[in-house]
Amino acid sequence: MTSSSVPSRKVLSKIASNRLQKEVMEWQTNPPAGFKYKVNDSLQRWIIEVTGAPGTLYTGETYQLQVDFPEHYPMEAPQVIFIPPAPLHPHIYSNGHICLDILYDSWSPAMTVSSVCISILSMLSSSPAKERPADNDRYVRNCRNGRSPKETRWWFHDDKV
Amino acid sequence: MAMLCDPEALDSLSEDAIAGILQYWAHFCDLTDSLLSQNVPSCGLDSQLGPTIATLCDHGLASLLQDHFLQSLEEAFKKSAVKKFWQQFHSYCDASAIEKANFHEQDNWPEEILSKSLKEICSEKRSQENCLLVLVENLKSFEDRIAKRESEIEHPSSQLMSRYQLMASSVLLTTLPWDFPDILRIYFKKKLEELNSMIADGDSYELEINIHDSQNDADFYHMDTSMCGCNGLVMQIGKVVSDLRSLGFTSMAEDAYSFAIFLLLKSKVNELAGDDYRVPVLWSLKKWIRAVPLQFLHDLLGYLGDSIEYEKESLNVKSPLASQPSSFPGIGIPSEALVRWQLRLEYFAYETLQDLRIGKLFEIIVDYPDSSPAIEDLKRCLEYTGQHSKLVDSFISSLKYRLLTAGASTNDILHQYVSTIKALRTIDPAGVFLEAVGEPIRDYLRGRKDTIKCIVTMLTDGTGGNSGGSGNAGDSLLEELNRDAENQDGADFEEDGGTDEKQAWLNAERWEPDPVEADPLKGSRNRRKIDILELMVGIIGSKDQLVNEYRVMLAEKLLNKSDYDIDSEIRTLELLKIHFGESSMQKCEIMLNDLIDSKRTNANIKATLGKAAAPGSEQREMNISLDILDATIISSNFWPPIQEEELNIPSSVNQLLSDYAKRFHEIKTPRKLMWKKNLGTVKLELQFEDRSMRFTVSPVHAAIIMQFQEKPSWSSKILAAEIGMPADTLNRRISFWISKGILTESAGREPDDPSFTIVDSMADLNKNGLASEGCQLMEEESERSVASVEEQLIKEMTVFEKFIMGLLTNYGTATLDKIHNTLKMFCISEPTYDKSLHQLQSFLSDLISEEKIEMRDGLYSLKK
Amino acid sequence: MKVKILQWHAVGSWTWDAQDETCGICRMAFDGCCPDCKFPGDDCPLIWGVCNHAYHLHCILKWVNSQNSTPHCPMCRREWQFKA
Repeated sequence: MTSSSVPSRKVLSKIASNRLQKEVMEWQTNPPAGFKYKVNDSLQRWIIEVTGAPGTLYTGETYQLQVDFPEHYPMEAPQVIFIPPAPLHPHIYSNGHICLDILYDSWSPAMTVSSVCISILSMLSSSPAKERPADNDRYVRNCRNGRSPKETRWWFHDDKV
Repeated sequence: MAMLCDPEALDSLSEDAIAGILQYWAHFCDLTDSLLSQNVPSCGLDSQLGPTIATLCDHGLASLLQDHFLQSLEEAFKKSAVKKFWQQFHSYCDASAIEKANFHEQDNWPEEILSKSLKEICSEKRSQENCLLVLVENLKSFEDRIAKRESEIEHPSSQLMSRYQLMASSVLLTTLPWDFPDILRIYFKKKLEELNSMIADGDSYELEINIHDSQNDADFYHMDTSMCGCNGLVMQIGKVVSDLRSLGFTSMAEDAYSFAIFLLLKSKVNELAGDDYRVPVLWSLKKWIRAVPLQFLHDLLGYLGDSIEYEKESLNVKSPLASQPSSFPGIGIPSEALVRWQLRLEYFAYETLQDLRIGKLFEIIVDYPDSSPAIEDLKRCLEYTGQHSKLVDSFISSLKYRLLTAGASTNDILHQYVSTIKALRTIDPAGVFLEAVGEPIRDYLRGRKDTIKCIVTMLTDGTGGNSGGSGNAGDSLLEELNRDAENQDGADFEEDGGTDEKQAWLNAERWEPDPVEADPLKGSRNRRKIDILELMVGIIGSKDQLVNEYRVMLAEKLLNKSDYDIDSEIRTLELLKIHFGESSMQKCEIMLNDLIDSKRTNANIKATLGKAAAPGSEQREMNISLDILDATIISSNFWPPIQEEELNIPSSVNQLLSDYAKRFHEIKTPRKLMWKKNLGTVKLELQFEDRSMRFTVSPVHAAIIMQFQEKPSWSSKILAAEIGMPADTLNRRISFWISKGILTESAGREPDDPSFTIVDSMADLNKNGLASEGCQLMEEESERSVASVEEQLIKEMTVFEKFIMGLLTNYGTATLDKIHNTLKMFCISEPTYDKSLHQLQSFLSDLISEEKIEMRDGLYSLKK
Repeated sequence: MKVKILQWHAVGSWTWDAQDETCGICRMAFDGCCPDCKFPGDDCPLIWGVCNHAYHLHCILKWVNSQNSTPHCPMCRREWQFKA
């Protein structure tokens, strides 16, 4: 595998930038609870702050998500990772990669940043224990050359978490 | 020995010798007195004077006797000549200001007095000079004798004449009445006026306006060496000048005739320029300068004998107006003095004309382009004087005083602005002064609410040719767009052909530095191009707003069309696309495309439906067939918001509409057609027993009047219910038919429920005092089909409000710029953020006053 | 008095009459057009899947063509089949 963690920074296609503008507008007028999007100068990379939902293992903790959009968004999924330190979670690797099907094979263009965020928060909220995935060290070692999680052939552990 | 100049030698003399000398001295004094009193030196005196002088000089009294003689001359000059001379002018000098004016009126004043008295005093002076010459002669012969003995000797006698001249003029100057220079001026003024009218009457000066300004034309410089009848007059004047010169008034005389010449030139400029801006005057002015003042000066200097110096150097003094050294074919090479005069006069003429034109620039621009000759003149003047800043300052102040006031309509201001742009473009192709002059206009227009609307009207009305009202700026604005489009084509062509080196060289040669007034921040003239539309956009601040307003106006226009003829709109749109870019005009293009599609679909539906439709008995009865129905089907997402109004239209028409819509659905499945029943136009004919009238009205008006077929009289409330609109709306809209004399309004049973009745015959109509206005009346549509830009703005802003609130929630605080830039970045579609910083600021202030947000130290935040 | 209508020029607007306002893929209005199109209507038609979800034809084609495996409906994840 020869790719970097930074997704190919091609200019967004017309459909992608149009959609992202709409998503920004939607987010600003109706942001998902528990998330804060810091508007910066780039449409192509969003930094989103997640606050653990009350009554869960992550209550009051905040983490940062980095969302990078590919040229052909929304035909392709965005790359979503936690900026380390990533939350301790059985599906989240210490390098921030998230094992969540909708980010990869189950992506659908009808999804939005907002809906992805909600999925991630619900994944966190339903976590039974604060721990790393069993294969964390091996996976992180494999990713050392800066591999994107989208290059990974994910084997989704279970649907419950 | 110091015999000539050493009176101390007398000390060594004996008493007897002194007595002898005194006797001689007394004799000399007597001789002097009689010489001066006689005024004519006689031989007898001369013979006595010689030895006396010689003796006295021998005793070293030469300077003493010279002094005495001069003193005696001075005495005599003062007593007789000078006193008499000034007395001539007493009556004027002592007069009051009002009396002086009377003197000016008198025909022969001051010519007669002046020339007569000058003549007298000059002859007096000349005879004194003769007397002095006698003394000089005698001194000379004595000196010559001495010179044989002494090698080194001065000739003080040679200085006597100049001492006398100095004495004479200082005597005159010290006794000069203070308004003598005035008298001279009046004299020259009168004489020159006389000369001018003589020349103007004669053939030597023809006021014929030659439009081709051929400055090298030999004819232009033609001067007659002899000025026929004028010669006598010039000689008279010359005599006076030379008399004045001989009295030592050389510079005073020159000042006076210069003054008179400039005065005459000034009045000539005023006379030629006047208030008619349609005629160029510069050419005739220059012609006049050569024909009158320069000719006069040439003759005068010739008379005085100091004119024609055939100096080669004089050629170095070039007239900047002539591309070649001035030549005066009639008189050969001009003297340097004459060339200097020409330069002074022309500069003065240019400056005077320039000031005159600048003072009236406002009117001139109002008359533009009829006044373009005046603008051309002004341009030349300014090129010569370089006083452009005068123009800027003066024009700005007249703008503020006359145009930028509450009384002026926005339309007028815009028209004047367009004319200003065009006129100043002639004077200043680089647009430097235009920038300065245009700024206050633009500033002012920005404060007016209807500016955008007026500009867009100017843009669009030119096409339809129905631009009523004042001026034709609409046409010219569109013309401007056309021209730019052509220029662009031309430029493209040139690029294809490739500019050769020669052209590049020519361009380089044509380069001129920017005028000093140029704002260095605005780029050089090569990059600057005066684009009227650009300047219009500059007033509004953003092209998006102009485009937006244009879209609303276009929508209004298209929705009220009863045909599909949009050729002129397409042309305008193409031009606007060139200016504003295709993407800005995208929605407008879709709107026009809707019309094209509608035409096709309409034909298609009518062709297929006409056959398919069963001959409905109802339609037959009502005498309505599908033929009368046409439709414009719009892509509403791309149109400005449509004003929808409830309306029940007559069932016969309604049936046609639903048939039409059904057919549309069949052809365009799964698309559906939704009628906006209040929109569109209806042409109808009202048939009365004795007459019929045609109207083009809105569907609402049609629905109203059609109700009166069934019943001649309706109460407001019942009619409103029938038509399906609120009673107050009905009452408002029905007034159209009342104003046309078709309906009358009368009080109903209830106070707020009037009733309306059809006026059935002409007799009734006339009784109502309303004349029939014939057929085919276009109604002045006051109801709009689409929401105005202001209404849209309010709607849009509520979207942005949410965004701004969200943004402030995230950021905590943000500056105006930050909010503006963020909106600009993220809101580029549906609705697009196209507001100016200023608009945003006023919107934010609204939010502050609604207590939704607050602002501290330039930072906006949510209200806690 | 009689009123004779010589011409009635009506105004209407068309709509795709889809359940949703906007296309689930590009998020643009159905009655508008997809970001790649210039003109709405005939030039940028809607298409329905057997699942009754509608998209701009151009949008759904992009999605379908980008899928290596069997394409599914972006909304309901059922297998995508064009509705006749």
